[in-house]
Amino acid sequence: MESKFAELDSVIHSRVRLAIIILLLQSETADFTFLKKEIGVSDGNLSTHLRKLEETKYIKVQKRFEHRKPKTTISLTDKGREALNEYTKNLEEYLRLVSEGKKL
Amino acid sequence: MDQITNEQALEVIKEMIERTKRKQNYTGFYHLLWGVLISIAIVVMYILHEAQLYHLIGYSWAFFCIGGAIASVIYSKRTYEKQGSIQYPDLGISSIWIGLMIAMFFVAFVFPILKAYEWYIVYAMVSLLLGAANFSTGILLKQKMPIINGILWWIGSIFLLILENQVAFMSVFVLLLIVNNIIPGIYLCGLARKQNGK
Repeated sequence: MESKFAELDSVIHSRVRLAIIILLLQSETADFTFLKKEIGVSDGNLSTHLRKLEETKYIKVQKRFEHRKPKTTISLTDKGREALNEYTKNLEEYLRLVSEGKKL
Repeated sequence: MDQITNEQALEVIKEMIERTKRKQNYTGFYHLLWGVLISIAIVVMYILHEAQLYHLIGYSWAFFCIGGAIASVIYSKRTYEKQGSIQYPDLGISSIWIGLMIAMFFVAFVFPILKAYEWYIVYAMVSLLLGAANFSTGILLKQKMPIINGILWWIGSIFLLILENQVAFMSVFVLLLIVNNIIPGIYLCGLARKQNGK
């Protein structure tokens, strides 16, 4: 029997972007350096993924100077939270169908 | 390419949750801060009482509450700078202890000044507040020790209301401070160091 499930959000469905969103979900705000260290990616790579998430308004990026040094803080928006909810719901549905042995 | 399979997505979610869960960011700072501050406040209160400078007792409590506020704000700011993120449990814990500080200011300074109750009641009220802060911290950290400490503070508050002997009264309060704030503070500090591999 063939079953269909909703497609996963392609913006979130990437290792780095998913990791960013999960880390932000547990924090009120996070620094660029914190995300870089936790995910283990280069500055350029992280910036690219952050830009993509910012374009879709899933995250809010704030840049400021602290002790004369630039500081980037990132937080999850309500839209990002909703998108993640939808994403995990669909992922759960996929896993349920797989466990029931249905063809996807 | 950065695209992943659905199974890999699940792994990423698990890994990122575990990564932050493993970290015990709370270092027991607020436990120690309040343990030490209130211990000093008691000594000062005793000295002022003996010197019959009753009118200064409230001001000494106010001084310690404001001192605690400044120390807490500096600590939470530094913690954020060091960690690079404000985790929700940390935010919850600092809110609890900063809230305690504000409530203490009213309980130990404003209300006695307004003659809402006698000065000795302050100890029982402070015990109730410390119980609430310890208990809530324990729930957030999923640690039994602060939960038990919270309950002990609440039970202790009854003794502080019924004990009339001055020495017994002070002994109970000091014992509660050591058992419920100073020892857990040192324990949580060690736990954070161990879990963060420092």
